[in-house]
Amino acid sequence: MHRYIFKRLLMLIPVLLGVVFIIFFIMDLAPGDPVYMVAGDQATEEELDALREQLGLSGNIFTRYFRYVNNMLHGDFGTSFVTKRDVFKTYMERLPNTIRLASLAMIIAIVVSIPLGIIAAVHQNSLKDTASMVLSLLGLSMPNFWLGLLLILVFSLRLGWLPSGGYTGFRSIILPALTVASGLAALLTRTTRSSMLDVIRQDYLRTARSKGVTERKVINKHALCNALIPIITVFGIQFSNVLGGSALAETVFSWPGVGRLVVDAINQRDIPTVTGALVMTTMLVSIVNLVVDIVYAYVDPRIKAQYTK
Amino acid sequence: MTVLRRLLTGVLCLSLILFIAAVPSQAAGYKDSVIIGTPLDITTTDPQGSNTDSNMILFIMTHETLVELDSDGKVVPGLAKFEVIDGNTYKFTLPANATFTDGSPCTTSDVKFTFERAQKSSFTSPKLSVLSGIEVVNDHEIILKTSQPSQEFLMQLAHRSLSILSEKAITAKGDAASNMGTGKYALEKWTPGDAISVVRYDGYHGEKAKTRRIELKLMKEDSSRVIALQTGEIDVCINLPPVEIDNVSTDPDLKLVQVPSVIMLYLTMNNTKPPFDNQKVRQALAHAVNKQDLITVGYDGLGTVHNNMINRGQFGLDPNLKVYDFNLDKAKALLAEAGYPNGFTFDLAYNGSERNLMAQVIQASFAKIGVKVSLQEMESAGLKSMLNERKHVTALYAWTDADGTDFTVRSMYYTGSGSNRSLIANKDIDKLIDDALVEPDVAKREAMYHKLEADLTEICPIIPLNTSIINIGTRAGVDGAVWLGTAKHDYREIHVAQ
Repeated sequence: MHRYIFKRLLMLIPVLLGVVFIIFFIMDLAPGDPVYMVAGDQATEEELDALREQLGLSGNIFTRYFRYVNNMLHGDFGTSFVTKRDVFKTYMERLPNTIRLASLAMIIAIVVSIPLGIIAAVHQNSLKDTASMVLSLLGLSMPNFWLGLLLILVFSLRLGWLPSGGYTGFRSIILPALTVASGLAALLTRTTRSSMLDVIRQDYLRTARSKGVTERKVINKHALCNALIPIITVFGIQFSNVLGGSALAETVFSWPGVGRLVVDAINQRDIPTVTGALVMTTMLVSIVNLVVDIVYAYVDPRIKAQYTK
Repeated sequence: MTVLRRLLTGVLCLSLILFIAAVPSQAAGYKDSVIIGTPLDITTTDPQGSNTDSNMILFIMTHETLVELDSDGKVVPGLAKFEVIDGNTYKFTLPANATFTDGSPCTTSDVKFTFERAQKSSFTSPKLSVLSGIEVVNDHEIILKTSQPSQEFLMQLAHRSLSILSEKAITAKGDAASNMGTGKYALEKWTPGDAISVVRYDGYHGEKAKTRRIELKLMKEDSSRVIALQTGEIDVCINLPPVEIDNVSTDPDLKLVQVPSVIMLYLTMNNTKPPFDNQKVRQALAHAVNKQDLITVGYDGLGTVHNNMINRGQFGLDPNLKVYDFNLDKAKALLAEAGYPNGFTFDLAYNGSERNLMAQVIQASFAKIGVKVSLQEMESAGLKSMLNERKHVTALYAWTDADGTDFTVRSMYYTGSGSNRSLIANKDIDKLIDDALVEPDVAKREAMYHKLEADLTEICPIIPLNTSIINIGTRAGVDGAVWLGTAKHDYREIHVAQ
């Protein structure tokens, strides 16, 4: 198992190098020289050249790539063109907010979706099933920014229970987390339902029932445990997505997270911030994926056996 | 039970006392903290680090310039008193008790350091292009010399990017210490992309601020910003979207402030590229734009048609300037004279949703004279880069500076200037600009700018389009802020009566 984790961590290196190169390549394709954004309208050619050298923008894409990777390996993710602040520090200031939002959204999604998915599967084709599927369809269909504004109108403006935006403590996370959780819960409900439906018809459940095991135990212990792998997979993917930033929800709720940082940096052609933030997010997503793979092993002994081999 | 009740009551009373003690003391009858919701991000705390208007709002609070402009655009003393010795020599006297917000004294050495640093920055060096000598007389007196007489030198010194910085702090701690000035407020906390806050500096040499703390909170989403104002989470909502004006004006708890913007939107044409190198083509297009329609679609009707070559409120603006009326027949005739009877095709670059709507109106209008416009929507960084690299054909762009007329015309129309988006290169125009700058007689200088505007209108390097209305929503008790048409609002005296 330790060997497997070590191997996966080693695999991170080529992934990160590839990600950095793709970002460099895409940013290079975008029209316009970023040095003009930094220097202002009245800069002379000499000033522009000096600034290009100072900002590490001189040379071709490969020179800049190797220079960046070298600095990155020394823990230097560069300085923002716009704010002149250290990119690593800026990212780390935003990351806790994103983790808070992502974690609460995932907790809400799990608490809602797994029971709802189980009920839908156990009572297939009943009113409960239809109701839970309609709910999940609604959750998937509602655009995040629309739901966010609706929640603000009801809970902030009309009822005055919760703040409308910004990070001012636990109360301020509730609305953005609900907004982000709606889509996640919908997807997880559908996944839980279909996964449970696959398992629920298996012979070993029939055997368990015939041996007198209670229905609650059959569903919660035997069925759910075996249906968990696809649910964990979807959970991992969605958690990674939310960690990458929910730019729309973050904009509506003025939430100072990673998503808004990246979007703003792209709009301002702030290459060090875009590159640094995406590289760090890639690391984070890779770690989440690794954790998901390790969880597989604990949920399914067969997978653990494979890792051990 | 009685014991428990007593215990609970005791705990409750104690909590109440502790809570009251924890609340910061407030200046007589004013709210402790004012929160301003803004869609515009502060990107630097160094006054010499950018020309962005939203940043200037911060520097007005935290820093001071030697001189300032009053509401009529007249130069008045700022940090220093000033005396014009002759056309090329200016003397400034700093107050003896001026200190930076770390308590260290502000002396003329800091002024010299600031201007020498500014001369090395591409953002600020154009403003000091005529500064030729700095002579420190003593700790409080300094003499600035210019290489030629300039009627706008003092006006340029009032620009917030020339705020006085601490030599000692920057030398010891580096550029990061440029966030400290001699202003009424000191920087408290800056979280880029989220919020920036300042706190009152009690050692300020002049009258102290009424509000202890001001926070500028970045809220990019219009609806969220308005709702935050309605719920009282923020006290001021900058750039209220037109659709929300009724909601604010009819709410007794809120107040609507409307300020005519002086920021001119214009259509620039690259005068070096055909067919825009032909004056008649440019004039034809000027006749084919219905400027009022642009205001209707872009600003929901809240704006003013602009025909002048400089911003409204600037010295020398000619109210009787020739106007290119909306006349498609004249436009077609001019196109035929220019050799384009069947029109032509070109790209129009722009950014933002308002300008997207306006670009569509221009496209439809030009189609009526046979000119096909290919719309090229870009993000602001891309558009600015393209303009600075001179790769554009035409673009919708804005001129925001409204202080010095010379700065405006020199930036926009002088040969080779960085902000000369039309790339006009005309020696007569350059000479007029140079002559007007050194002309000491006010009436003659005004007449020179009238002539300059008339000549520019004839050459038509750009088509001035319109200015908008700046809509601001505030809570009912908010007072003291100076709302400016340049959008560089002055919050130093903002307060909310309790």
